[in-house]
Amino acid sequence: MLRTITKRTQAVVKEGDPPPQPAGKTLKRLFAYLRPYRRWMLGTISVYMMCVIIASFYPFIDRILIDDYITVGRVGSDFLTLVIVAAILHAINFTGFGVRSLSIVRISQSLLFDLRSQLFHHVESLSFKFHESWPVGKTMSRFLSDVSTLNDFLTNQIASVFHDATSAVIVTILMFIIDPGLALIALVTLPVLFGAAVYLRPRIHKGWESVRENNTRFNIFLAENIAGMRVIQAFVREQVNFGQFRKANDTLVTSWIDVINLAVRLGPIVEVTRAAGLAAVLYAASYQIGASSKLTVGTLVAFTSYINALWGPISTFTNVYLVLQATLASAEKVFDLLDAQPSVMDRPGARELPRVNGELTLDHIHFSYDGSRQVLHDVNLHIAPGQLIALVGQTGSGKTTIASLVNRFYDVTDGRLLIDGIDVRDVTQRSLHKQIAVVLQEPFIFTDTILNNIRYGRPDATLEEAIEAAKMANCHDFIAKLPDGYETLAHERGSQFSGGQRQLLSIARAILADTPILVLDEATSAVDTQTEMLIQEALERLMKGRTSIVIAHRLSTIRKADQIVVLKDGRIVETGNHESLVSKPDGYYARLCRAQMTGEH
Amino acid sequence: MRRLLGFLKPHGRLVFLLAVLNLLLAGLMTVAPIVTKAIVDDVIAQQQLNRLPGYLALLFGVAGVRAVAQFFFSRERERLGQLVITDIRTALYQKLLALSYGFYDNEQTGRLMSRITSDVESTRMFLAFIVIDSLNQITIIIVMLIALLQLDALLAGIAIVPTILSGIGLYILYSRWRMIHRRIHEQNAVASSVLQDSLSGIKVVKSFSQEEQEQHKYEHAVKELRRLNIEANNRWYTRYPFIGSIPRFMQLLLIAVGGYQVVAGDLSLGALVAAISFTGLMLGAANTLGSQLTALGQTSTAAVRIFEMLDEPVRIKSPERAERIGNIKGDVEFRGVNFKYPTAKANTLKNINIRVPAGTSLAVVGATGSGKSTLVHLIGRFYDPTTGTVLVDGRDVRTVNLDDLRHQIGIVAQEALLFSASIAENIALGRPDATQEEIERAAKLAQAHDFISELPEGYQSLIGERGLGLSGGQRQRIAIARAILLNPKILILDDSMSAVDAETERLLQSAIGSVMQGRTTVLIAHRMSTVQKADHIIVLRDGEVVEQGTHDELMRGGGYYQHVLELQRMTATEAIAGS
Repeated sequence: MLRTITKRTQAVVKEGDPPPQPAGKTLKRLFAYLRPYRRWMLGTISVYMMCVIIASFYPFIDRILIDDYITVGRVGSDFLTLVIVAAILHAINFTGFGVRSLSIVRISQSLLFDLRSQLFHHVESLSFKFHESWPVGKTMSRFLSDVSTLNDFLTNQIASVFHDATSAVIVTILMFIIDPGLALIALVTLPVLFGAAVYLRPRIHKGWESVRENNTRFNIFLAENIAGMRVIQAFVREQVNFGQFRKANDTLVTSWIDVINLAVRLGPIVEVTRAAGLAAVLYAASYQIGASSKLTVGTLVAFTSYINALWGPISTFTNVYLVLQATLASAEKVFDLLDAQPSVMDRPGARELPRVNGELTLDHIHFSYDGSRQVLHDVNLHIAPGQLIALVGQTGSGKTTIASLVNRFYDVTDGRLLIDGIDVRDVTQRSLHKQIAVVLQEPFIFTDTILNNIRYGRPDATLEEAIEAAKMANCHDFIAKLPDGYETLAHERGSQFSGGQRQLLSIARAILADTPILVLDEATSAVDTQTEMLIQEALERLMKGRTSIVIAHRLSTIRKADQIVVLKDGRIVETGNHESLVSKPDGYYARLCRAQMTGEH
Repeated sequence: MRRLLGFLKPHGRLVFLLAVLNLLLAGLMTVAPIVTKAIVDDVIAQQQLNRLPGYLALLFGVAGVRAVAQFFFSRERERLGQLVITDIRTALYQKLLALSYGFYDNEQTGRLMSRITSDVESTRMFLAFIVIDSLNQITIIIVMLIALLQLDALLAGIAIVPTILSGIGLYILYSRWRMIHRRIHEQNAVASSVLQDSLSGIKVVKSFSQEEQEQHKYEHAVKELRRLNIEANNRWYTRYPFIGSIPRFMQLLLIAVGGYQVVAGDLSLGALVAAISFTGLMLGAANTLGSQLTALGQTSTAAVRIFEMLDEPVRIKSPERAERIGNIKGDVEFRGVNFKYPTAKANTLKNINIRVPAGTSLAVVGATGSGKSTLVHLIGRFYDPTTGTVLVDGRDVRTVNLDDLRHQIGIVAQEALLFSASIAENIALGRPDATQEEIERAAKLAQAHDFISELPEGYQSLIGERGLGLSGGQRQRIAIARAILLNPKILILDDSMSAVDAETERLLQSAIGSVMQGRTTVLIAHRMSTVQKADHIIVLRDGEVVEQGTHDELMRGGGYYQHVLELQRMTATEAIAGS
């Protein structure tokens, strides 16, 4: 089993830790997802800007109301008109708020959908090599948390950046309009704020990275614990695992607190610099008070509001940077996943494989999972249409590999695999898979109805056809006894069914798929004798008229094979039918038979 | 809701500290407008410029104090969040550890995961941010109202009515709106389940080239999610602006009314300015409160689901004064046992009466679904019988300490579940303190030592999720080694050798034969070669013991056992006949 371990480490290196991409490139790619919605986005941002501009004028209007009307005692109809204008502006502002919020949600949800379905499509297309090395939980977290982070960035965060930037610009302009000198003084403490942000940023970013990593580890730990809870309880591991849980949680919480300790330092700096700015403005204004009387009540009110309005966006702006870092991290992960190349791909111009007769030729096949350890050495085999081939050998001898190669789940390292004389690499994988049904060692049942599970390979099959297949697979009886019959919903992985029932279901599935070639992987194990008889019977019906490649340990199955291929360490050591092989007393197969017989008696 | 706040209880001190800081922050907020008022009325109106530096210093000093308070407030709030999340996670995890098999029979890993990850996270957000922050905003609103009242009763009156109205409006809006969030969450779970299915079953998906169908299924689920989210937001944002816009209208009204008062000489200009500032701060607080309410909808449903799970009754646990059992002999007895799964129509086990004397072996034979697996799981009290009693060493298993009981039992399940850890750790699962020598000895007995040694890192090799990367037979052998290492008095083999090839099985059988010495063994097997060596054999059919006895007795009985055995013989002899 050397192969699987090294295979994994290699895959992780290749698909998990690519060199970090430049941030600009990642962002550019990220923004491409907004392209289909650019008109909506532009419209939304325009509304946003309009709202910001209106809101920025509030203190400006208040200043006029105070200085030009109240202070001088002119509170007539002009005053009231201006108040009403201000109210109308506010109404427009809030209508805009409603509109832009709705459209942001619309864009954000559509984008989320696009990203998820693209990711799903891609993941489905990745080869086995990928799926064997990536835990399901890891892929799931790309779909859930990472995609949400990206979505939040592309919509809410971008919109708020526009909001903040516009607001900052307009406020600065308005301050200069009121009084350029005071405006300059107001901005004097800003560099301190920037300096602090520049110092803290990279440190905070690092902190979030480690939070994220710890979080992933924690989730993997949990998922496994939940899936393995029966074992944990059976082995009275509760205390030990609880300890592990505490440790994982502590690590996560500690890293979180660490980064928060850094991040909360920004708040006081914002507060102090803002107060300093305001005090400076007021002090400076007071100096001119005698001469040109700049420190009017209105100016005081306006500058207080504006400095608040300016510091608000600036302090959140530093948050945006944090969000950006988190986004980049998530984006890199999602893009890495999107960039993972299927190790098996359709050749350009690959053609459709027409319905085959099922003739298989393995021509000098060499195979290695990792490029260093040979799993198959010079395997040659010819299988006539409709033949039953039994692959025999110890665990790790290469049986499963040969079966996987027929499906082209991996590409051969050297040699060729031909179906009806056509190299499997010359045809599309889709058309190839349509010709081959697989019955797995551990049948997988989907969380769906029994009916849909049976017609999995042929979703358009009618209920009658499904029942027909179920009858042939000897599973109609138990299905009919279920409260909802064929409409019964299978639990996760079909957990309410026994191993034997799951196998019968997967046989029914293969029967209904009606393919010329069948690959059976140790499907006859894990059931009691009577069910095994049912399965054997079902399998016989299934294999009839199909080229069947069976990995089985049961002599009763092997005995019927047209050709028995005995494998040892990736080489074919014997071939022939049962009679011819048992007559070689020193042969591997003959020894195997004797082992089985002594086992029986 | 009250219960949710209960999570804050153990951290009362911290909550108190936060409340104090919160009040301090809100109180300090009123200083700036008051100072402004003084500047307007004293400095500007009366041209007393020498007072300005003092006021400015006060402004700056208050800002400094606020900054420090803000720093501690944010930090402690986060810390509270992390403490709470740890408590909730711990409670959930302990619940998961305590819940019996019956619970897991009906639950999906993905759903449980989302409880303990996203729901917990939402609850943390709810408690640490929304509750604390909302309180913060509400405090600000109240403090500002009080400050206004000090300033001018009429202006305060103008401010208070819209504030109360918008509060009521928000509450109504929110309570209507939260309903849809439950649906959103459910749909999220559906989408995750589809995703998990497609990923876990990728081999089948690809073999049947159903990528497109899966894509369709997933898109369908995600599309519905999109629709629900848009609908939820439509509901909110078409109504919320009416409430959210109230404060500024109020401010303008204040300027108009206050303006007249100032001109009439009833109010100082400084007081009006201060009033505008107060209402400005209220405006900010009210807006924040509004946006927090949208988040509230998402989180409170999460809390409901967490409580649902925490309330899940633990059906199987050690009784109050559980009997501690040390070294037992291993005598197992079923007395009038009936068992019915909650969702099943009929009893899975019917009136089972069997005794397995210490040190002997019992083989359980029967068709799939006849109740074999259920029967053996009753010994370790993974389920409780519906009626009747299971006894170990003459004691009802429901009266003894559960951990003690399970420590005496080694189980090899049908599906070998391995953890992402080293092989050594996987073997030492039940005895984390086992030495390397003990681990290797167990592995040798389980015929696993050879293939483990061939791995580049041997016993330290890491195995992935669900033990991917090892063949079924190899995983099964690790699971057997795991049980052997426990050195249990009772050994349960639940069809444990189904996935190993014939040669390995033969080796394993002799190994297990020697391991069985001196232990009570209950085994489910289909190979008669294994079964016939058992001291006692029972044949189950539809949950009833239809035949029992030794191999020889049963062979004379002419019943089901003999029938099955002959079927097997036949295939075997045919194989022999060939040679």
